[in-house]
Formats: sequence, C-alpha cells, structure tokens
Amino acid sequence: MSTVAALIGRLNRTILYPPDAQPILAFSTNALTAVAGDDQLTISAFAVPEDEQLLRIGTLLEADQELMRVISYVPATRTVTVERGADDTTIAQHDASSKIIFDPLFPRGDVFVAVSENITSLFPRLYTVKVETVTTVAPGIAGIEDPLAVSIESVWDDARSNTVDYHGEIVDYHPATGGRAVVTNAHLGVMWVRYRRRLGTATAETDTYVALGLDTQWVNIVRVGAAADLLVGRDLSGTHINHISQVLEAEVVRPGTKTSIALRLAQYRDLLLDRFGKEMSAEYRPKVQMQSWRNNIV
Amino acid sequence: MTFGPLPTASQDRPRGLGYGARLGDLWLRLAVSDDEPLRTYTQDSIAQRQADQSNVYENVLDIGFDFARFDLSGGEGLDYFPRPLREDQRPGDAIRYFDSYNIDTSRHRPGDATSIKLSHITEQWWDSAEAAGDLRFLAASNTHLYATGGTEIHRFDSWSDSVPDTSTDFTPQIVESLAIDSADNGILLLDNGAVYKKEVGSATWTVLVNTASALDDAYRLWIVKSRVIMAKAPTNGVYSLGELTWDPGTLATTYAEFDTFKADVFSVIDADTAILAVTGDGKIRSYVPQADAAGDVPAITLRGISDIPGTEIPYAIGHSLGRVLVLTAVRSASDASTTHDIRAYSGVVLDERFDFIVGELELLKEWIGAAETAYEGTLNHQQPQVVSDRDTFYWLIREGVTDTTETNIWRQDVVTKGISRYINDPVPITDLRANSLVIWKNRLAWTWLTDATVRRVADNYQASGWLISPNINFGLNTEINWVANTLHAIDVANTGDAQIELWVSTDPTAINDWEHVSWTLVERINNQFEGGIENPLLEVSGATLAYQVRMYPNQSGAGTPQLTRTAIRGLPAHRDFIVEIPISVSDSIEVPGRRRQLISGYGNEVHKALLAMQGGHYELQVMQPPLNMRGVIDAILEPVPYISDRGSVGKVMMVRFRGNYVPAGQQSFITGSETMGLGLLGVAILGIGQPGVT
Repeated sequence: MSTVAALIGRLNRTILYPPDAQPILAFSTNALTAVAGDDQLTISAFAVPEDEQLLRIGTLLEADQELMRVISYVPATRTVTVERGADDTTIAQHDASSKIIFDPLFPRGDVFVAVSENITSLFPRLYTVKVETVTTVAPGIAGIEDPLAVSIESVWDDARSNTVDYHGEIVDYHPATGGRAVVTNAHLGVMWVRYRRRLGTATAETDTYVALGLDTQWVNIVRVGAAADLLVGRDLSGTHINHISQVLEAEVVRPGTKTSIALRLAQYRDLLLDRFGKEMSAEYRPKVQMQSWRNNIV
Repeated sequence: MTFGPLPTASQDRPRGLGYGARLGDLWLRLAVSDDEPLRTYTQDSIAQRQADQSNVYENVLDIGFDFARFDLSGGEGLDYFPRPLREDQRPGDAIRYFDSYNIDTSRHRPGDATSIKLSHITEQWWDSAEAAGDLRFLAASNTHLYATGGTEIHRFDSWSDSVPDTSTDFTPQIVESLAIDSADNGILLLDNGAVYKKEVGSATWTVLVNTASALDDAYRLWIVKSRVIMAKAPTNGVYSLGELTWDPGTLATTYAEFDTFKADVFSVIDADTAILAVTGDGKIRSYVPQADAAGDVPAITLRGISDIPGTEIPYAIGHSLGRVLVLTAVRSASDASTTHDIRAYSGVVLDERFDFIVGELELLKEWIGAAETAYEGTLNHQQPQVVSDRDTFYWLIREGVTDTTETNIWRQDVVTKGISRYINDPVPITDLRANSLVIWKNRLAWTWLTDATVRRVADNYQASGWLISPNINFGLNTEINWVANTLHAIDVANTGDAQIELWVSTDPTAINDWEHVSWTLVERINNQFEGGIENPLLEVSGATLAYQVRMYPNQSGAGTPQLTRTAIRGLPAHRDFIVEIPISVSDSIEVPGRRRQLISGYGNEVHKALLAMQGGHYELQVMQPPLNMRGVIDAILEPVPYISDRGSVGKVMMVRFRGNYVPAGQQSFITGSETMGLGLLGVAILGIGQPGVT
C-alpha cells in the first residue's frame, strides 16, 4: 500500500524504532470514544514488571496519533485516568486492544507532520509531469482539474499535425471556466497539454503517493529527511545509533557520530535530492527555442 | 502515587526482560562491561582479621591457623576449641584441655619453665598389720602424722621413718574418731564414748570424758577454730552437733548442743568466716561463733543453710583462699546400686547479709557411675576428705580410666579453677578403697582401707601419662587440612631415655578413649636435640583434630621429661566461592529489543533494597554465565557513576556474594530463610565455637 501510513511504518522500522529499540507499550483492554470525557483507560498486564512504574502523573501515553496524559493510576485494576488530547493532539476513537505507547520518543503525530512536510518540500526540485487532453471552452481557454498542476511544459493539437508553436500557462482562476484553466495561444477544441505537478500536502495517513504526486523512488528522500528532522537533538542510545549507522552504511553513506547523525541524515537527503534532480534534468530538459534553418535562408 | 514494589514475582523469561541475576526473589539488571566484569574467585572460609591483640593462644591467620599451647593450668574438660569467645574476643579457655592421666599440669612457679610433667608415683609407706577395715583415720598436724588402727593410735614424726614413734593402745575399745589441729593438739573418741586428749609436745593421751558420760552416742570429732565439734548418733532419729568445751588446762568437759537434724553429718570444716558442715539431708550448714551481751565465749550458732540441688548429698567439703569445694554423691541407679554419680562444685561463703551460706555454686565436673570410696549412704567409719594446701584442693575419686579398680587423686587449682586428674593410685583389688586423704609435710598420704596400709606420693614418676587436647576446629564447620605439628620439650636428655610422643586423631570421639584405634603416632622425641621445629603432617584431613601427648620417664623412673610446647597448624580445606556482581542501580530499565526507559527513582529503590539485604543469606542466580549459589551477601560497595564506552551514564553497585555453588537440579530446593538451614546454604562458618558437624 503506497500510503503515508506505510511510509511512516517504514520510517519507524528502519530508523526511529529499530528492532532493538522498540518503544515501551501495552495494550488497552477497553475502547475509547472520541469524547474528552471518556477518560478511563484500562491497560493489559505488563510483560516487563517495571513498566508499571511508568504510570505516574504526567506520563504521556499515545494511542494512534492522540496523546493522553496520566492523571491517576489504580494498580489493582490497572485503570488509568487520562487527560485526552494532550499537547493539542486530536481526540480520536480508539478500539480495544489498541497499542498504548508509553512516553513516545517520536509521537506519531510528529512523524506524520515530518513526513508530510518532507513530501511537500520536494518541489520545486522534484516534480512529476503529466499529459492530459483538455477541451477549450473559449478561444485558448480550457479547464484543468488537477490541483497539483503548476505549469505547462508543452501544448499540441489533437492531431499534432501543425507546425504552430503552441504554448500555454496555468492560471488558478479564469472567468470562462470558473476555476483553474489552461490559457494557450491558439486552437479551439481538443488539445493536449503536458504539465508539471507539484507535491501535495498530506492530510491523512491514508493519502496515497499518487494522490500526493510522490514518485515511489523519492520515498527514501522523504524517509531520510523526516528522520533527520525528528532525530535532531535527541539523546539516542548506543544501540540505536549503531543501528542507524548500519542502515546508512548499507546505503554507502558515512553516518558520522552520535551528535551529528541528524545532520548526516540531512546531508544524505540533499545528496539524494541532487541525484534525483539531475535525473529529472536529464529526463525533462527545458525547452530550447530553435529557428528553422530554411526560414533563415529565405 | 507512591513508588510501586520492585519486581519480586517469579519470572518465566528473566533474560528476555533484561534481568541478569536474582538475589533471593529480587530480580536485578547487571551492569557488566569490560571495565566492570562479573568476577568469581575463591577465598578463605574465615574472615580475615587483624591480629593486633593476638597472643600465642589465638588463631593467627598467617599461613593457616596455629593452635599452640604451653600453659594448661586451666584444667580439663574442654571438648572443643574454641568455645565461645570472651567479650574481648580472646578465647577464655586457651589454657584448658580435655583429659589427662598421670600428668601434672600445675601452674609453674616463678622462674621455672611453663611445662607439663609426669605425676609422681604412689607407694605403700606403712603396713599397720591391722585387720581389713581397721586402719581408719589419718590425721596430721604440722609436726606429726597420726593413724588409728583398731584399738590403737600410732604417731609418726618423719616421712623418712615409717615406724611409729609412739603407739597407744585403748584395748578393748576401738578408736572411733580422731581430730588433730595444726599445732598438734589432739582429741580422740572411743566407741564407748570415752574421750581422750593430747597436748602439744606430748605423746600421752589422757582421759577427758569417761564412759559414764552422756557422750557414749557420740561418733565423730573435729577441731575447728580451736574448738571441738562433736557429732552424736541419733536419738529417735535425730542427730546433733555440739561443742565440747575443751580447755587443755582445765579439762572442762561440757557438751553444748547447737544444732539438730535428721541426717548423718559427714564433715565439718573451718571456712574462715563460718564453720561449715555437710549433712546427709543434702544441706550445707553455716555456723558462726556469736558473742552474747555478757561477753562470754562466743557460742557457735546456726546462721544459714544451703541446699544442694536434687537428691545429691554433699559428703565432703574443703576450703582454701576463700573458695569452697563441695563433693556430692547420688546413687547411680537404684538404692541398691554400689556406684554413685559424684559431682564437684565450686563456691564461696557469702557474707553476713546472706547468713554465711555457701553460694555461687558452680558445677565443675561429674563422674557418672563412679564408685566413690567413702560415701555409701550409711554411717560408717570412712572419712572422705577434701584437703588443700595453699591454693590447691585434692580429693580421691574411684573411677575406671584404664580399669575399674583404680583410684585417682584429683586436684583443683583455686586460681584458675581448673580441675585435673592428678595422680593415679593403682588399687590392686576391686573393693580395696583409698580413704582418709591428708597432707603432711607437703606430701599427700592416704590409707588403703581393706588391707590397712598407709600410702603416699613417692618421689619417682609414673611409668606413663597422657594428655588429650580438645577437638580443634578453629570455629570452622568445615574440613581442615592439618599440615604440621610442633613438639618441644626440655629435660629429655637430662633424664636419659625418657621420651614424649605426639599422637593425633581426626575422629572427634577419640578424645573419650586414649587407646582409640584412630590415634596415630606422628612424632616422638627422646633427646634434647629433637623437636622444636615443625614436623609436617601428611594427608591428615578432618573437620577436627585432637592430639594426645604421651610421656614416659626414664627407666629408673626418677626423671620426667617436661613438655614445654605443642602446636598444630591447619589450613581450611574448604574455600568459599565469591562472586562480585556489578548491579545496575541507575534509573534505566533496559530490556532486550526495547529502547531504554528511565524511571525516576527506580535505581534508588534497588539500591535501598540491596542495602537491606546486606549480610543476609540468599540464593543467587546469575543468568550469564549460568551460576546458582547459596550463601550470604558479604559486602556491598556503594554505587558509583559509571560512564561506559558507549556513552551512557549509569550507576553501578558492586555486590560481593559468598557461598557455594548449588548442584544442578537443586535450584528450587528451598532451605528456609528464617531460622535453620544456614548450613545448607553452603556457608562454612556457623560462628566461632560451634561444634563441628562431622
């Protein structure tokens, strides 16, 4: 599934929570509704006895993207009274047997934002190109529905038979269409446009790569970039750093030391950006205007 | 919200939860690293200590333990060494041993070497030629020795001449009792109640009371505080003690009764502040001379009565240097039994506040099944005595050490309170009984009742003697390798072919039998150039070791070797296993496969729990390397911050655990954690002075 959730999952597995640095978690035994007053959370038995000591006033618990703060705890029944939606997270519904993560080092909401921002920021260095047929509703004016379309690469008529140098722009609003439109220098009727698409802003973990204009080969850039954003300033254990180092070394990157590992990740992201940017340059060369030699002779 | 309990429930997969060790039921995470490894080693079972107050009596931890002795004046009866220590941590019983025979362990005189020697031999000195049982009493003044035989009384004036210088015959009357004071005043009682007296410097007995007097039921006399005490036989079952007013100048004879009781009286002595009498009703009676208002001669008055515990009957009493020695007897089995359980008690005469009773009685020794010579439960003519010279009590005990017929002279040192078997008198016939012990001119003498002879301590030495040490265990309940012994003596060469042997036994029951098969000869010295250096013992190993010294005089018997020092050295064969465990007392909860989590205050809780366990006995389980031990938490080193190579800061507490490995399959064998069971925990030492488990 090429969704944002899958990308977050991969980020968690490979960098944020490697196999030997899993977060401390338990499972709820009751469901919670998306109502702030539904604040009684019951926890399953603890695999590690000491984990129970973490249930103190102020401890942050995470269920999905919602953070909850411990207000009181009754050991006999393992019932926690929580403050729902702590730290301005959104109060959401949680099923019974939901994962409850204790004191999350990387709250899932933060990870989502980091991923979303890193997708968005790929543009303008990276973008996708799409070809579509549009139909003019007025001379040179055709509506275009794609909200990610930002500029026209080339335009040609339906038959692609003339030698007219068509070109066009995308405007966010045109009275003829009542919305986004392609404005060209000619033609009436069906025409083809090839246009650039910027990256979309993710709003939910269920958003797909396609919907966001994310090429699957750029996922690694997003992963590394989001990791760099999240790891800055964190006190990571030796095993955690070892793990990230090995992940990066496998990708032929020297990761650096503990204090600079976030910077190295950022550099890696830039390196990947450069690499894909060059590939894009090769694939989508800017259009060069050339005169016909025969015209010049005449 | 308070801090919850530490994890103490059993864990199915402790390593999966990051636990590295379990102490008791407390699960712990280790902080083992290259810098702070888990260390295991072995160590001596006994805690090392500074020997800053040590003397030769102590166990000195240098190379093994040294048991060295030269002064054994504390007497016999110590079966294990060490017994509980005194408050100053020194063994209070270092001058004691277990048993001896024909060995003189007297304190040395100033200037002499401290040593033990053979006792002197005994000999027949004078044969009275009386019928059996007729030689009844010996009595001694400073100048003369008196013996009564049948109708006669004989007087001797020198040890060098065993012929009476005078003899007086009272035929047909039999001399029934005799008393002589140190100045040589004498008084005697005939069986018809006639009383005769003798004055200083005179050998003539003159009549004091004739047979018509009211004294014909008198049966025994004593001279105490220059006064004559007389016991009268029962009238209607009532015995009495009275004073025979006796002035050698006036020959006044008045019997003044001062006490009556329904039991025989055995002995009356002068105990400085009081006159003491032991009676057959189990009492010690205290009498004091009390002046009346008229200023007359103070009348002897009963002041207090001490009761001897149980059915024991005191039959002899002695006094020296403020201390009292009492011998009691009770029939061993039934009334028909001819053997008795004899007990010796030491005590003092309390002061007037306590009516001069004999108090602070302390049991010195029991002779179970001994046939004491004198006490037979009926009135007879034997005279059991405790005699003393300056600082030593002497008395006779008939007991079977080598055979059932012998009699031994026992002694008690008033200074050390130690008692010892002093001199053996080999009675040749089963019912031949030694009786009437006296000291005359620094020499002990007594009678053989049955063949009517007087015997004495001779100048020569016994043909052999032995002394057995206690079972030495140095307070360890563990195997000890006995590696060396030392034997040092003087006067071996001077006495020619005398010799001393050292025997050892690791059988703790061997001390009860000097001929036990386990005794092994390890060293013999018979000239002055031998001994004095450590003699290696090979393959002698046991929880305890006792040694036996056997001494022999030269062939003439005129010289005894003197043993000046014995020593035994041992090394504990058992060593404790020590494990030093670095335990994490940081707040970090580390579990495999999981990122570290800090629980504020958790390390402190573990720290406190461990401190509370210090010195306790626990089972230790270490996961890696796999160790299962039982023992004690020997020491806890306070936590120190530790920075590992990986960069994390932790707190490490070293716990030193001392004990023994638990064999595989016994991990769940619970020995109890409350009272007993310490021995099963593999701890070698159960405390100084406990008898070893054999």
